[in-house]
Amino acid sequence: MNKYRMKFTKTDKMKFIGHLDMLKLFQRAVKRAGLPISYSTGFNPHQIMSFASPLALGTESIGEYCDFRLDEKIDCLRIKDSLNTALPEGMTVLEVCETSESSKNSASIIDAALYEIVCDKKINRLDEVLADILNSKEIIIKKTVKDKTKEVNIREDIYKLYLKEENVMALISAGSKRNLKPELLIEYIYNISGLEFIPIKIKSKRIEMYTVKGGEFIPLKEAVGL
Amino acid sequence: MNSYIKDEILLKVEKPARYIGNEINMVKKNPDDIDIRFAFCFPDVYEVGMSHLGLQILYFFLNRRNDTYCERAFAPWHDMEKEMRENGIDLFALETGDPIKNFDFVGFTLQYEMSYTNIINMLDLAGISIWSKDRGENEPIIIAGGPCAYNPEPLADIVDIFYIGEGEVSYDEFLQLYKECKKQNLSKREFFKKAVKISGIYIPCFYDVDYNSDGTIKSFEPNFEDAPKTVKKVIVKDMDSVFYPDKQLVPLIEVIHDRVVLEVFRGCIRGCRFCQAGYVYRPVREKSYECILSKAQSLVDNSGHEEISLTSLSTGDYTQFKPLAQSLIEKFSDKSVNLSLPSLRIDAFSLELMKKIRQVRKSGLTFAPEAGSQRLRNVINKGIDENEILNGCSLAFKGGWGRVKLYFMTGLPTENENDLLEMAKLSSAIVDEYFKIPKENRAKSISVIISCSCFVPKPFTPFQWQPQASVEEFIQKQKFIKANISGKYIKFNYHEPELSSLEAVLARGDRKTSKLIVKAWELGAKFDSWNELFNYDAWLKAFEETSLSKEFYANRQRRYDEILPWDFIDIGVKRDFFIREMEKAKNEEITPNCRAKCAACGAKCFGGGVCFE
Repeated sequence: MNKYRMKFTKTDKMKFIGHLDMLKLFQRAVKRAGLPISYSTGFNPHQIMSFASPLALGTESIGEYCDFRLDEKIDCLRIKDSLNTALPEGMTVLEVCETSESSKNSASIIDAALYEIVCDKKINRLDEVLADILNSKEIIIKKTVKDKTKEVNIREDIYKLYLKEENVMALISAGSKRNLKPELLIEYIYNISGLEFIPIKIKSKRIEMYTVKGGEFIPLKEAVGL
Repeated sequence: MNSYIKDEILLKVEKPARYIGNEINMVKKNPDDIDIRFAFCFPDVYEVGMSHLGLQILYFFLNRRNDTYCERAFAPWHDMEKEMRENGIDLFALETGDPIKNFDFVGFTLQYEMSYTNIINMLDLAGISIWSKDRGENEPIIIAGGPCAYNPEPLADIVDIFYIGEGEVSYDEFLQLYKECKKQNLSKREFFKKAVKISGIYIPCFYDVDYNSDGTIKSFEPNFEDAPKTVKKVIVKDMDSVFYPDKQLVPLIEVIHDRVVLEVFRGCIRGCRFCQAGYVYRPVREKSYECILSKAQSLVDNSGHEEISLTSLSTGDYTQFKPLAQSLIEKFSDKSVNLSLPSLRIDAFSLELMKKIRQVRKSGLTFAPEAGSQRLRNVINKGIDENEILNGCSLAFKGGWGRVKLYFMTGLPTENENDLLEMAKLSSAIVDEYFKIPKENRAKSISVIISCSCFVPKPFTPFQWQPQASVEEFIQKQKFIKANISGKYIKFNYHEPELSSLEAVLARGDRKTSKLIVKAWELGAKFDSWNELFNYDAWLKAFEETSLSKEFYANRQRRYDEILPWDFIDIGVKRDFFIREMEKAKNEEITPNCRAKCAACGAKCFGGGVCFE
């Protein structure tokens, strides 16, 4: 009962707040908002609240998700408004909706995320580069995990890739089953274009998160089981 | 935010959130609408400064004025400093991102001596002249306050104005005067001449110091008729009516203390002879518990914190401690707000309370016997005896706590080998206490941590005339203790004597030590209290290059009739009292606490607090 999902933004200065600090920030925000957040039982009770997917430090988002439970039923609009008075500049709740008791939380249903990426350099014939990627069977990149570098094929992690004016829009895998970091894809694009890739110069923004149902990409705010 | 601090700079440094402001309850004002811009500077990293109660109080106190905008700046960590220097970014305030060199005031809080090089570094990073005499009309006025301001002399050539005492008392008058002078376009000097008449204000340029050939002070005299011969500290008389914020700045990243802080009283009744705070904040002035409770509610509501901390120099001495603690537990326990009680004596009541609030388990229990033997505890007037410690530990072990931490000091006046041996013995006795308790009734495991610091004689204590042990002597003492501690349950930690020896120099330094600090900074010293950045060699070289003697300041026995650099400051507690206390210390005589028996220290002159209970 009283399960909710909210969609929120994390922009401007707030992109410098890491995931763990953001959890703490929300725990305090719900208290300042005066919401009757539910606590787990046990020796160390904690707020029942979970986030869909951590966002890399420095990346902005207008499509973050958090699930939480309240001790009493409260109107979604009221929850949204009270949270918005309690959150710092750069974080805004866009929408709150109720989820069904049986619905799974965002973290377990997320399959994909859409990113908008601003490149710091002009890439020649970028539209063709993107089309080539989509036409390839394999996209092999080098991935370093704990000093070990291995080659992985990320082609299957790329669902959609297109241009929005100068920016790259990438719908790629996200979540516990498959997960592609957008920087890896952009690094690949820079590499094949013969450009130097400097991670801190790339601005990226997460736009939305999806679950896949019957081949369809459904935004998490619509996947509420109601 | 400062438009020239690019994202890519912030993405290069550790914890970029240190530099972005935007915290919950941050005050936003339009700089065009205000008369006075004040940069509150904490000369250490963000996480340390943001955990400081004084900052929270003064920030909201100054910002309650419509004509003043108080913003904050902290010492940038070395990675950020490097970026700032390479990219030509001046030290900026977190609220607006504006360079603090354009502010009216740059105020530093002096919490510990080993932050002084950071002050120099911050001035330099801000593009502000380091020496007071070099600062032009267009540069901010540098003001400083806090506990270390009770001996302002080591910074007297750098800071323009010192504020001696509690900020709530004179700042309104001071800022009002400044505003008027600014409107009349008066020079800084003209403002200083008027400001020097305000209580608690010390302006070094109006005083001349003359030295004897041996380096001691020959005379310390005002050179301007309105400058008072002595500067008396200002303190709040009525703690219930004084301003206290009903909200706190809540950082966006984890800091040292993330919690609501409730001040319960100022001062301390104990009179431990090594403790400067115990004398400079006299007399004890309490808040009523109704007043504290009402603040608790609004602070919890406005912060969202899940922990409340009661703070004072010795919370267990609060006369209404039991009802306050109980009311707080009743009021907040169902809202998942925990109570944290630092500076508490360990006895049956406090343990019962701690069980209720289920804190401490993470950190263990702490005792501060400070000295190993009863003899030496009498010398330092630390009113805790061995039975109290052993009983407290025994109760703690039975209550399920297995970690005990003991704070000691070495190098205390009159200390001998036997006192150090007793330190080791006491630790073993605590372990024995644990094993006396049947297995089923005690904590599962035991560990005793001995944390040993080096005694630093401080101004305005009975030990202000005493020499500090040399670095070599400290090392000998530490070795000796270590050799006499046995058993796998006891762990021995100790502080670096090198750092403490410099602290002793700056604590009792005179005006000549200003150039030592600046020289040490020029040679690379900063963040001295950070182990990984402490640069002892820079300091040793600075002594050499400034021809100042470390031993003169740290290791010299001063005579009672010597003019001490801080003698012109009047904290209420009289010099005669300190002499009496020093003589009693030599005779191992204790002095009862303020509530048990007034020792006629002189603090009664403030007309309030415990002196009139």
